[in-house]
Amino acid sequence: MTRSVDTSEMRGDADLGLDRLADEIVAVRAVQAGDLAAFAPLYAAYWSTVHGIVLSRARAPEVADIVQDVFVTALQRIAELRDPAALGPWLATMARRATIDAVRRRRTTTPVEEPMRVGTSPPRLEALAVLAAIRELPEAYRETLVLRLVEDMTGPEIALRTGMTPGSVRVNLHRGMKLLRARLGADDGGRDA
Amino acid sequence: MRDESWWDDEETEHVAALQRVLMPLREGPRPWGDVLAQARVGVVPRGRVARPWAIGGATAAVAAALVVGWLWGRVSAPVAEPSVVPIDPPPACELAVTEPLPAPAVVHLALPIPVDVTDVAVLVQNEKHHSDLVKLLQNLERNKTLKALVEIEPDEHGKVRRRGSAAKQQPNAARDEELPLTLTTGDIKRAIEPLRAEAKACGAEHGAAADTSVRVKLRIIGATGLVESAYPQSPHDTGSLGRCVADVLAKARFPRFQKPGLGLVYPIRM
Repeated sequence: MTRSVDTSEMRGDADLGLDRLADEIVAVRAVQAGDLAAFAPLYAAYWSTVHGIVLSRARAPEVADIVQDVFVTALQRIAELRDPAALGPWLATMARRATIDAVRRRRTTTPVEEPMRVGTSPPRLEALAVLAAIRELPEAYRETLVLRLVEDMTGPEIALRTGMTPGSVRVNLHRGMKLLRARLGADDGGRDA
Repeated sequence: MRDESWWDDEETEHVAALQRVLMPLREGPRPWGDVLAQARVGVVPRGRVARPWAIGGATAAVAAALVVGWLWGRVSAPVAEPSVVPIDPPPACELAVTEPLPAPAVVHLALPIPVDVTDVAVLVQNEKHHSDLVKLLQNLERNKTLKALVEIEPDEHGKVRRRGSAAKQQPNAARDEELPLTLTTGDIKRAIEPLRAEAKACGAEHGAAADTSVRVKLRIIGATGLVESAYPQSPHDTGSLGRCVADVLAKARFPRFQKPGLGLVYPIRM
């Protein structure tokens, strides 16, 4: 028995992903051949991903510096990327390591307290409070939630950019959102009481 | 590639509400040109992340690279270059040239990429020795890296001799016996003083409290009096305030001295 399923929409997504992947592979090879400027579209495409990964772990004021460092390092080490199709996971790993290094450096030199800049606006304070709640979640959920909630990426986009399976992303988002709601609800309840 | 089918309506509302709250954390990417320029002239050793405030050493290497690039453009047909970025020559150009060359307003880096300029310093004493420079550059193009310090200067017979590796050689200036052995406190203060106001302005720019003190570790090259590296110290070692102050102090010009180098930590009170 065969089933007739309309897969045109699925094919559309898949084609879009493949086209993008083909473009990325061409760009990566050009960069590896010495044309660093060919990295520009990849920088634009992956900036949000790297920013989200870094933001899920590092302090907000140092995020921009770490993100820039990640891309500079990526450009300097692009020759080490053996599989051009794996650029996303490669950048994601680099971002995680750079952030861990930065956090480790900070722990050995500075107090844990995050300094508040003078004149931080109330909306930003509220955003930082929610971000702090996300960072208290299990590690598996933090990154996915930040990519979804801050960087406004969809589940399939997160999977495509980070190399995670769509199933993992879906599970992380659902469980992460559930935990986050519970945590924020508890905080609100505590304040109300 | 929107796929909201991943969410039910209630979940979508929660997500949208949280996205609104977290909106202030969104920011745009820094200009691509900044990243590209830093990647091209980054002078950190392989395996380490480039720090944007480590511009002391970068300035020296860029100065050397600019001189090489400029002369390369004059004495030889350009190499099959990838893409070229215009970079304004930094004031530290006199590091590499004793008799200042008529530098153009914009210098194009025509070096083959990728070139590791980490330890490169080329001292060109005289413009007449282009042929030696060309040979050097051809060698550079073949090897893609150049780690030797090369001095090109005529001997008493007018011939060019070259010296060995950078690590083992001291530039002529450092051997000058008339120079002081090292810097005095007064020398250091006098060199920093013209930059103090600019460094203090970093405090206002980055919202630092009035009594904040930022300590910057400087490494000064004896032969040139230029700053090789400037690193902000804890607790400002990772923030933008520390980087801003370090960037300013990296521009300091000290008197030359005999010792190869001098390291010091200088505090700036905002």
